[in-house]
Amino acid sequence: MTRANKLGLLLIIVLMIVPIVVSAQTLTQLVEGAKKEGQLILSWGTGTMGGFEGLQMMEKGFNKTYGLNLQFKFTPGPAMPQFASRIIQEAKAGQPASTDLFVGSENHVARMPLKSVEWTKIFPHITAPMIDFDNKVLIVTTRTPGFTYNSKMVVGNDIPQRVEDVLNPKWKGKIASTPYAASFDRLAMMWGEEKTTAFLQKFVKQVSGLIRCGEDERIASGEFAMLVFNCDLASPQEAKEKGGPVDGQIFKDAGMLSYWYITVPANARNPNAATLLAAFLLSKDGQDILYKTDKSSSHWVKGTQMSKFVAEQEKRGVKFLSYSVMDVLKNAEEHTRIRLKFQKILAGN
Amino acid sequence: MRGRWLFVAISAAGLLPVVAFLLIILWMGFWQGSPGEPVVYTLKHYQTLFADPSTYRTLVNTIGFASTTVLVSLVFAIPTAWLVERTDVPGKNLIFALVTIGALLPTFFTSMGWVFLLHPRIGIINKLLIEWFGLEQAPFNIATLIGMGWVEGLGLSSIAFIMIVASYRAMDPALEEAARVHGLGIFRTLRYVTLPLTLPGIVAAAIYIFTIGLSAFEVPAIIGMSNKIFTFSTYIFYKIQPLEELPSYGMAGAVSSLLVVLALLLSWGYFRMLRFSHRYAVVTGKGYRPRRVELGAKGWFCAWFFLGCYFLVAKFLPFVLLVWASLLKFFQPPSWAALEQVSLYNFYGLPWNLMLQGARNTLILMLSVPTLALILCLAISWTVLRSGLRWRLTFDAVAFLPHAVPQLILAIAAVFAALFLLHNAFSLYGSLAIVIIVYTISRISFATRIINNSLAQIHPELDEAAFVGGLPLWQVMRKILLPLLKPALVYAWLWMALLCYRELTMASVLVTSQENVTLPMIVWGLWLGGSLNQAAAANLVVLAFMLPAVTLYLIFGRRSRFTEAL
Repeated sequence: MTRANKLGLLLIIVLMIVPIVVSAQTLTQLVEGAKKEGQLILSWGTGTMGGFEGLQMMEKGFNKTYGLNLQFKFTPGPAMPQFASRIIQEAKAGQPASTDLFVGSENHVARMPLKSVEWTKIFPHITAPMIDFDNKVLIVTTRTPGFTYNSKMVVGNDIPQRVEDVLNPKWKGKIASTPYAASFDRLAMMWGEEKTTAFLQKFVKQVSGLIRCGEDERIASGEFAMLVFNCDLASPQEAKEKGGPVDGQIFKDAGMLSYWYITVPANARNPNAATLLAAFLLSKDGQDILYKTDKSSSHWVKGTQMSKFVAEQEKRGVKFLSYSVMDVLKNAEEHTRIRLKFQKILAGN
Repeated sequence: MRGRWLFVAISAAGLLPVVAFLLIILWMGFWQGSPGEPVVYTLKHYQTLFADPSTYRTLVNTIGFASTTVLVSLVFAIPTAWLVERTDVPGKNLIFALVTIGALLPTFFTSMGWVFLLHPRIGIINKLLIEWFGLEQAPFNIATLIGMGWVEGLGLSSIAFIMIVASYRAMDPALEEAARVHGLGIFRTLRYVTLPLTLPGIVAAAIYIFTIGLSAFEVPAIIGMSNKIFTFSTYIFYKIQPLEELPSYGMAGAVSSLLVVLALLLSWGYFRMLRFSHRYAVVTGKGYRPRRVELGAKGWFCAWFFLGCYFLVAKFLPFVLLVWASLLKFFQPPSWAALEQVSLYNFYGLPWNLMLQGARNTLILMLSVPTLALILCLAISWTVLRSGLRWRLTFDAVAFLPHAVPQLILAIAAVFAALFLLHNAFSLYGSLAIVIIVYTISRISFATRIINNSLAQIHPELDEAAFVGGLPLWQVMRKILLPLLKPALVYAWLWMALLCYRELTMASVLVTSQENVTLPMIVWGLWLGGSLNQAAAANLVVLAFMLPAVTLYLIFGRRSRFTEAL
């Protein structure tokens, strides 16, 4: 081997090794940084990410994965919009964020100062589809809005398959919807504003009341036969497992994929540990914890319940609509206008 | 009057943050974006508010709901207060205990419970009545304004009772005796003597309850929304908390401003009454010896029948529902099938470490907030009723305003002040101190109503005589006014401590870490997250934690009655 060849071979080896070394160093740096931080300050609604039970399991799994002994300090937080507003204010005032990791939807994360991370370089299990918004956010769970129903009142062929099935006179006065018109704006993205408005004007005659997503006991009690649309199928599934006569399903003609994003605020107190936790939650172990405690997971992570569910539904012919943070941001004003219009119709105004 | 200006200065210092917060709220009503974003001014929130026909429908709903709430709460509170303080009805300690414990039950359980009892489709009582009498449709519907007012009024009857009971305690029975000597029966004496003499207390309680009704959230959210009945609280809530977007604090500020105007209008009548407060002075220098009306055995039976019915529907039923909910994985009406699912599952999963931290913070709040509030409010009430200052009623108007503003908005204004206006001088954000300050401010209305009522019943001739004798104001306060006000002050202190325990909405904004987490915030967090049953379990644990405070309340109550008898 000539000297030139030796040098060439060395260069190739260096080029192959360097990225790995850089990644390994970065991961090491993160772990070292997390060790120095010594704790994670976390806050979100107890109905998100498995609540207190989820937290305990995350703490164990996280420390085991990274060989750390960090303490998770969790405080129950307010609803997501209020929390997002809180973090934005804290950043503007130069205060540390009240959570090291924020969970929310597109509109919540969009106006927040966030830390950008080279996720795919540092964490091999994180792939490009799991990342959005210039490496600032990760899709932690996929939500599939549909309807929640009382499995004693709505049985067999009566279970709606398509959205317009809920207009059946049988359900007049027995359906609930949400005061914030959950998911109808997304329906308008599929159907168009005109068709959705026409549908809502008929649908509102079926609706006798407005309840929040997650109030499954009101469906189980028979106060309402159905909630259309709900925010996700995770909540009715959890209620069903607890023994409630409740179930959830998606409409064949209105498949939607919406996401909860997880992100490290730029003013997080413990950014290294937070980055590691975000990555852990996208691992199979992290996703298993989320499914066990919250009945939710990301369809982008192989082998999760949600990836199986989405695949099954696609086989049934359901076409899912999904959108990125940027899609939502581009059309934010239009979405707000439509949502307010739909809220008014549902409220009977 | 030596020392007068010290009291006026304390009053002014206490009311200064109230004015500041209210100005922030009014300012907020003109913001385009959220707090912390560059301020762009707009009138669109007011335009939207006044141009939207649903605003007026919501206003009518809110007034209907608040009025029913007042009516229901007074129907139970006035007779109970009269029985406890003006008669020899037995079991007074038990009555106090039941009223107090009942006030600690969160309204969201009561609301769900009443839905299960009186909903036209699933209500157990409705179902039974339809079955027994062969009715075609359900006779009761809880999802109406009257139904909502019934549930809210029952819940607030404890607060109304506490506000009214001190007035009955301080009344001179000689006036009632004189009425009876002149041939008036017990009911005519009540109508022409007792009720008019305690009118300031009753009106103050009515206005106070009415304003709670204006901003009450749980009952309108759970019962009202199930029949698409919006009140201002639910209207604001969904403006502040849309599902997908950032909150619209501008609209919330505009609606709050409207509520402040409404509260000022309400207060006007009350202020007029205060101007003539000397008419209601029943504690004079000529003799003060409260005596009880003897009811006799028949009267005792009637009294306890009334109290029994009241405690059954307002206190016992919600408590049973709370226990029931805590033992189930899934909230459902009582049935044999449900009974088989009973377990302690919800208690095992509670965040015990966090609850201990919450207990510590809540205890600090329960000791500091009432003490601070009483010091400030004593000074304010004295300034309003005794100082003789030309603008003294302005002090009372300002003291009442925090109550008119939805507490959520008050807390948002406080956070804004801590983050953007005071951050260079004080590190308040995220601390327990900011919670203490905001809770104290929010209690000023309550405490001034109670102290005003009692101070109005003490004739100025008592303190005037002391001033003539050369005593400075602080000595007059210590030797004359404080001993006479003691029952009211003890009630107010203990009740404010209990209100600290109940406080949820402000905590959701002010609590940002484990450093200032409170016990109710943990319960609220569980409920908001959909864990209704675990929230019930947490609430029972919190009730157990509250037992020493309730015992304290009873001991103090008994002791002050004992002192009085001497």
